[in-house]
Order: sequence, then structure tokens, then C-alpha cells
Amino acid sequence: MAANFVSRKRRPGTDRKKRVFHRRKVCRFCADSNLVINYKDIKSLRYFTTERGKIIPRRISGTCAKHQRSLTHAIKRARTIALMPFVGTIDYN
Amino acid sequence: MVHFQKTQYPNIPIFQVSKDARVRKPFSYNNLYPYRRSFLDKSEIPQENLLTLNIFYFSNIGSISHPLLWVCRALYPKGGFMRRYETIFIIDNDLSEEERSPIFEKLKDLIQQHNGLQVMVDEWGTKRLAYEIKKKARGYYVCLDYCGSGTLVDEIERFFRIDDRALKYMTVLLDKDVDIENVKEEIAKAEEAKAEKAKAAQIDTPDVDPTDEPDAESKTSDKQENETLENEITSPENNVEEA
Repeated sequence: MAANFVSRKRRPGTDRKKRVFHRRKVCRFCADSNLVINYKDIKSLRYFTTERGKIIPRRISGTCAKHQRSLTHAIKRARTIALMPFVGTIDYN
Repeated sequence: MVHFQKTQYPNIPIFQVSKDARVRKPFSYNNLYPYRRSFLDKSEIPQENLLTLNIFYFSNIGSISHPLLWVCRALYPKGGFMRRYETIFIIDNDLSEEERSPIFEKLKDLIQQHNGLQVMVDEWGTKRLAYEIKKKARGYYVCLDYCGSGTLVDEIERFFRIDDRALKYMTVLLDKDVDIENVKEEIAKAEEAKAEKAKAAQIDTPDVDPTDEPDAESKTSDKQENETLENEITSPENNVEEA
């Protein structure tokens, strides 16, 4: 009876465990202290945006909270002065 | 907003929050007092001009709010009077160099009027804009680095807002408290470095005479060649169109 009870509690979806390999992501600004986040330096900022110009979230890029904050700040500054697009792509010359 | 200029020292009464000001929350007291005292020590204001106010202020709210304290804050800004700013502005790309230069002169005047210090003008040149501004795809970027107070920034931004030649501007605060002498040293160093670079460049190319005449000639000839090349390139297309 007890075994029955346990099996009933399991829902069908949870049986399969997702085993995704997580690589430990390291904040690249913490790893290398020489890197400076600057809104004028578009080439390095472009790495942290998607092709469409969106800011890549922390959970994907792996930057730490502190540096992500300054990154978003820099990217938004670059956007206001038309160095980076708000939306859409730009061909960098 | 009370704007305070350095030249107005002797005429205005200066409020000083006395040491025994009883402010309930210690952090707000700390916020108010120490930098103000250090500023007063540094400044050359005679003691007679200082009005010491005893502010007994008990508030149930954590943050302190009192008109007199607002005045204090306006008079003695947290970071001192000199701040370092950077203004990036985009000039209309269609303007020629001669039409551009009055803008820089005007900025220089503005900075001088407000007791500022122009550190550097960095012209990035023509760049493609990430999005169209005033229906224009290209702009001439200039980065102006200077020291000054908030009033100077207001003036510069007002100038850009009125002026049609500037497409867009953005001011960024670089440093809240700046020692002018340090900045001046920095400028001098930068200029030295520039001069050395120029020297090095000259040494690297000793064959080129300092007189630029032959250079200029060769350049013009190059240009002509390029033009002819372009013509050659474009001509077949024309032919195709004609055909």
C-alpha cells in the first residue's frame, strides 16, 4: 500500500529529470580587472547585446550583479547618444 | 533650486550648522556637517560672515527636512564646486569645418564665463548614427571634457537645445570633486605626450621634409588618380544603363 501511495504522488512530468550540464559562468569583468566598462567603447558593449540590440540577461551572459548594473547603464547611455540602437541592427563601419 | 556662484561669497549670509545642532538621526547629522566644515576651513571666508544657526530639530521621520538645511545644501554642495563633466554632442554632418568652428568658440566662451576649465575637445569625426536623428543618418561626434559647476552644464545644455546645428547632446558626470591643479597637470602631461608622439613620428619618417609642399602635391595627385579610378569604375555602369 505504501509503495502505491508514493507512486501516485509522482506526477508524470517530473519522472524525467532534466540533466542539463551547467558550466559555471564567471563574470568576465571580475576575472579581468583591466576591463573597464565605458559607454564610449561600443565594440565591447556589443558583445553584451543581442543582434537585435537587446541587453543580454545576467543568467545567460554570466556577469555578476554589480557589473551587469554598470553594463546596462553604459548600454543605455550609448543608446541615448545614438552609438547603439534602441531597436534593430546596425552595420558597424 | 538655488544656484551658487563663487563670486558671490561676501554678499550672502552664510549659514553654518553649529556643532551642537541636535538632529535626531545621527546619519543625517553626519551627512550635513563634516564636508561643510571642511569646506569652510578651506575657504577664505572671514569668520564674521558666518552666521551660526542653532537648529534644534526633532523629527519623527528619519530624514531631515528643514528649509534652512536646504539652503545649506544648495550653498555647500556635497562634492565641492568643481565637478568634471563630459558632454558628447552630435553636430550636423552637412556643416563644413568653418561652419563648425564657431560652436567650439562659443563653448569656450561659456566655460570661461562660468569659471570652468576646458580639459579636452575630442573630435571623433563623422560617424554613422545608430538611428536617425532629425532625418539624418550620419553625424559629426564631438566629446567635450571640462570642469565646472552645475550652472555651466545648464548653460551648455541650453545652448545645444536652442542651436539647430547640434542634433543631440548628452552630459555625463565624471568626477564629483575635482582639484583644478591636478587637472591642469594632467592637461600639461597630455600635451607633452602629444608633442613626443609628434616628434617620434617625425623621427620615424626622416625622409619627409618638414615643408609640406611636396607632400601636398603628392596627395593631390593621389586624389586625382583616385577620382580618375572612380570615374573608370563608374563609367561601365553608365554604359550599361545607356545600353
